[in-house]
Amino acid sequence: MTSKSPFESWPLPAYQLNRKLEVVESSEAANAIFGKAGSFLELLDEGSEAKAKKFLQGSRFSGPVELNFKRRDGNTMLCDLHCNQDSDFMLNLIAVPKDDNVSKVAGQLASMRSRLNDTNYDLLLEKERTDKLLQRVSELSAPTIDLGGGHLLIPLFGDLDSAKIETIRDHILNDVYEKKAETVLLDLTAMDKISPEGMDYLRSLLQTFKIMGIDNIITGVKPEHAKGLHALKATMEMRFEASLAKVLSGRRLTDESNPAGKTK
Amino acid sequence: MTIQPRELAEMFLAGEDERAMEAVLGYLENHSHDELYHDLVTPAMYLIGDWWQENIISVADEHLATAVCDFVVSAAELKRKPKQGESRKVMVLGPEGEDHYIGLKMVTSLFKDHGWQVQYMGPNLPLDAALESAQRWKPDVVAMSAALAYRLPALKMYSEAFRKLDFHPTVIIGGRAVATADITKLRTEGTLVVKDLPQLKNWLQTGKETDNDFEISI
Ligand code: B12
Repeated sequence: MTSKSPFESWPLPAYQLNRKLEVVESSEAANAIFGKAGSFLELLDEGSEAKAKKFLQGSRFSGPVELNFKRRDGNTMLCDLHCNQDSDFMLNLIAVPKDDNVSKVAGQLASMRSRLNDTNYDLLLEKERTDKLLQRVSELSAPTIDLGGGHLLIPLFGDLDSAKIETIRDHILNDVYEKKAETVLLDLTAMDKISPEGMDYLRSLLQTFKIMGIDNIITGVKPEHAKGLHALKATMEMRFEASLAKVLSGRRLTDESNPAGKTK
Repeated sequence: MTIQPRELAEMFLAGEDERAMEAVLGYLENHSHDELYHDLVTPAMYLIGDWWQENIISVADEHLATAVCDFVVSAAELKRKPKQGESRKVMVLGPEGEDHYIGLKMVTSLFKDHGWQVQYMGPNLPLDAALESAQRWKPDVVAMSAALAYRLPALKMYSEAFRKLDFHPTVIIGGRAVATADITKLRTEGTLVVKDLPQLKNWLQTGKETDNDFEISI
């Protein structure tokens, strides 16, 4: 029988090192898991080198030291390194892999976290979609319709509250400007509730039209809006007409043959 | 007296989530979230790393500390007033094989603080999934992090893949691995290398469109 080193057949990674931390002997298990190396430090993850050096060269062997080893398959493996020193200053080491249990629990935690995350992500996409839809609905609830002859019809749908105003304000002013409107017909037939801010907005909108030199006509006023609008009328010039149809035919706007469309 | 990183690290390791949360919420009464993350929580976690190096604690302890830290950071986030503002979008993630995520959470917080919409995708995200999400959501910026030095090649590979998307998001990379690496080796076109939270903040406030100037200043 050849005289095998006692290390070789150890069931765990085991090493004998000299004082420069060079590998003198290693067990088969060690070579199988971590591969061969000249210096023990080469076997370690770079974040563990300084720690290993300090403990092995400082001969502080009161208990095991946790170190991260680089496995041959490229993964990192956490081990408890047990160590003692021979009379001839050789270091005997055994590495006990230890992260199995911990990594199982950690894996479970990580998958719980990522499930929470996925839900979050889906919710975010959904929210973004509904926000856009809502915005679109609001925009559509105040379309601007070019009737020709400098007339712009703006039928308002639904409630007029601060959220709605926020979304419609810009596009109304923009369209009025771009379509070079001279008269704006605000139709309230499909208008539901008008909040106090809604009323303020209406006031400032009409004032803006006035500054821009644009006439305004308000049609389709319902009894429940009448009081508030009447109060507005006291503060500024406003024209009311009972029905949109009457205004349109009165101005012959339904008739293409009248391009000026401004005749009374 | 203001709480010190060492005390907070001790609470993390002892699993004292309630005390840690009280301490952090108390700190927030006269400090910003930036200060909380940069001056208190990050140093506390780095201390824990030092104690592992000293063989005082084990990786199992680090797991507990991370869980408490995560809890506290999440609680602190709830205390942040939501800001409305620009609707620029950022996606935050760690590459496959990278599990360290506390830094990512802090980055998320900083972006939110500046009015950004943030999609926090977490760590360890496979490239395909990351690209697919990006394709759907179309973020202006993709921010990535790595703590493990040997994940740098993955960061580089991810950066290049993101840059190839048709909407060309800006890519920002950071994290411990990046902060300690040789930046010249990391730099690829269109990728910003950011060392820490104060630098990111600086970019958010001043460098909106001047990517290149910023890169040079690193
Ligand atoms: C806690 C911890 C863990 C925990 C928790 C990880 C988690 N889920 O977050 C656990 C125990 C799970 C763990 C596991 C591992 N860890 Co670990 N871990 C740490 C420790 C102690 C602290 C990390 C931390 O939370 N820091 C706090 C955060 C806030 O800091 P940060 O990430 O650097 O982020 C800041 C900045 O960098 C910046 N930032 C971060 N990301 C970004 C992104 C952008 C875009 C920007 C602008 C900025 C930015 O902002 C942040 C705020 O200031 C460090 C030690 C250290 N010194 O870092 C080791 C450390 C990072 N881990 C290490 C290792 C080796 C591992 C393991 C391989 C160990 C193992 N055998 O399992 C595994 C790998 C897991 C994996 N696959 O990723 C090594 C890495 C060495 C190397 N080769 O690079 C370190 C350095 C420890 C060491 N000395 O060995 N780890």
